[in-house]
Amino acid sequence: MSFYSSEKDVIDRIRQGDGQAMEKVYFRYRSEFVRWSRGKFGITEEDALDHYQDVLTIFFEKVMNGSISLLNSSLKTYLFGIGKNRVKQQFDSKMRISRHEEGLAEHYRFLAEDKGAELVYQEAKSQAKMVFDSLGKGCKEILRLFYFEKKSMSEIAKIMGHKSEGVSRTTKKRCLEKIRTKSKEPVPNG
Amino acid sequence: MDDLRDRYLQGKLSDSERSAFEQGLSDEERVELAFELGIKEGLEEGFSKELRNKVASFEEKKPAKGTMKYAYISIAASVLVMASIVFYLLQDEASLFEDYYRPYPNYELTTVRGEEAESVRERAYQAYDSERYDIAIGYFSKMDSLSEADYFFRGICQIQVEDYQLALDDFDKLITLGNADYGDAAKWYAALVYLKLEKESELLPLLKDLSNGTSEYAKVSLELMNQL
Repeated sequence: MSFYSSEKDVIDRIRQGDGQAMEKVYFRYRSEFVRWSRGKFGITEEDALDHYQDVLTIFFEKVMNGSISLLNSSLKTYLFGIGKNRVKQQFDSKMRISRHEEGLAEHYRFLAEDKGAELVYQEAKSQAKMVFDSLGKGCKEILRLFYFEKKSMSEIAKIMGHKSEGVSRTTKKRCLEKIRTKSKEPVPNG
Repeated sequence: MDDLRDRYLQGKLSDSERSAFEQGLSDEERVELAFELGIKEGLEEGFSKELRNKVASFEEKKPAKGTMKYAYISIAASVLVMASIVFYLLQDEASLFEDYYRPYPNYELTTVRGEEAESVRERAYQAYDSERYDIAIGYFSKMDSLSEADYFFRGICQIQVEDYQLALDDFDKLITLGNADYGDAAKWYAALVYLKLEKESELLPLLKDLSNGTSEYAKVSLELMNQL
């Protein structure tokens, strides 16, 4: 039995970036998750809360990028399922890898086969991380919609109020160029 | 081609489509794609961290349990020296209640402002969200059966309209169940009602019980006990 009149409704609201819906989900299971994980795995309250926040971040991210639109199980079962795996990973040092490293080689096979391309990839990744905080609002938004929320260019054009998909595409390209340029700027002293 | 490239970058292609796409790239296109993949990965980490920080920030909005700052305690202590013991007992407990009590936020049922609620339960929570606690009580009382959460939120409504005994009746239902949803929260709010009513003999066992537990009320219960 869901705690909302419709979990689908909640997922739709999170997909639209509704912070209030996220907050409600967060507090609905917080105490129970912390109590359960402490009892089951003997971890500290701080660790339990840390895992819970990881779990919710994963869930929200998946909803926002469209990987989840409907749950086969209840939301609680789903969250506790992810939580169990997260806590187990804490005890397995071999599995302590960033979520963004997972499946990388599998997805971008050509990078593993081309040393030059791999180097370009690594450099670009560092550049993006370095300039992330200094990105302008507009660039950050369009890149977030494309890479993080995996929206199509036509959806992005609607959201950003661009006249056409072509305008969005050009804007995105300019933003990538800005990152390339920014990362080559000298770091100010002090 | 642009669409296919977009879908590749967004991980929307199947294994075979992905391999075919990679194989069709020129050297120059491979380098450009490697660059954008790197940017994507770097940015994704940033966006993910932003979302993680947002999730962590919800903790700051946790059901409020006011805290007394040390400076405030010092000032209160100075005042207390000058006040009579009776005055202290009467005034301080009322003030402590104000410090610690906040109506529990509704995380139980989402209601959308402006949209008409369909069920009596939804109407009750919509009234709760709008701080129309007397109306919420009316809706809760019209329901055929109340869930553990409903008893809890009706109890909060009763505090808001200052029907303390009715609030205690609702919280007691959850407390006697043992492991109820909102069980610890019910103990905490019942303790606050006893604080308000200046019934220390009922208040202290609840605080002791909570402070020995592992709930989020453990620390604040100990803090309140130390101030009594």
